[in-house]
Amino acid sequence: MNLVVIIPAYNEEERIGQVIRGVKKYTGNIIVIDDGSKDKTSQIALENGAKKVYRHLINRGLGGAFGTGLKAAILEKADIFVTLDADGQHNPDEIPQLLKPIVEGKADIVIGSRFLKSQPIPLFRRVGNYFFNLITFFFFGIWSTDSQSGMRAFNKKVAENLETLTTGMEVSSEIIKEIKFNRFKLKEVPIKVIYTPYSLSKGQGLIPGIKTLIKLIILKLTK
Amino acid sequence: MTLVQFLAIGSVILILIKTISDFQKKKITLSIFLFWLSLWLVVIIVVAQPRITLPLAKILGVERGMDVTVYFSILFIFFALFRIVTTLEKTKWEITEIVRHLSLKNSKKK
Repeated sequence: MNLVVIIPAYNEEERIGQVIRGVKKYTGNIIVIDDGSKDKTSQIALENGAKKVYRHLINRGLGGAFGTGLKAAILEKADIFVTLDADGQHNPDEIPQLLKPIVEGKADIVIGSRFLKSQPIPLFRRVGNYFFNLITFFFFGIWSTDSQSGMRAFNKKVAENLETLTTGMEVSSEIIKEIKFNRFKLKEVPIKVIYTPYSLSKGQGLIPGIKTLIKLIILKLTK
Repeated sequence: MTLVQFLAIGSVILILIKTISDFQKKKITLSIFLFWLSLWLVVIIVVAQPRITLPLAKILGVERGMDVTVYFSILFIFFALFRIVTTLEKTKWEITEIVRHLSLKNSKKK
């Protein structure tokens, strides 16, 4: 089983090293997509054990970085793909439980959900995420308890058929759309989220949230 | 002709000149040029002779001809805005594809 972990990163020199060291316990196949960072993200990622760093010349957003990661991981001949955030909000020690349903053949794609177990999450985040879960369900017909989660695992079938066209944060909802379209088996597993002032500052605020909503409307109307 | 009509027609003529000049400089294609040319000519006719919109207003159940013009203008603006936003999204995606292609060709290994 060739596991590849994809980490999209934008200006994450503070946390990327720690994230990669955590992931190395489970695989050496770590691909970092440096989405046009202006800091030392690429250099620190390589120093801490990333197998390869793919650098975008200019910032293209989460969806752009995700798509590049996907193509890069396919080039690595991966069987199982994991994505997680570079800001340290995901615990790499939860990778095995994310992989379990895929290894057992019970799912094609697994979403690590922050809302399946009780844990302290700021109200603004909770409401914002619930809103996007509703929008995603309304537009694309699949209910996910954490449609915006960046921690996922999926098999080769998903990687080869996933066609994401969006470039920003809306890619998370687009993945849900693709799950429905391709009839992939979806499972959610609870994950613990590590919110720090740093990771909270990196997440989606009100204005980017509105932009994501507008892009989702365009996605719904045009594709 | 009222002052408002005079100013409106004057502005449209200026836009028309710019459209013709853009076409001559090959900044816009023939189809785009014909689209804008016909649209601006219709605007000039409607502004000069607002009464010609009355039959259409009657068919649509709107009292004044000018109201029909305003309704259609707003609809057109929304449509144009939607087209601009979708074209912009497509362009962004194409840029991403180029950036992705370059990054996949030039990966850094440890």
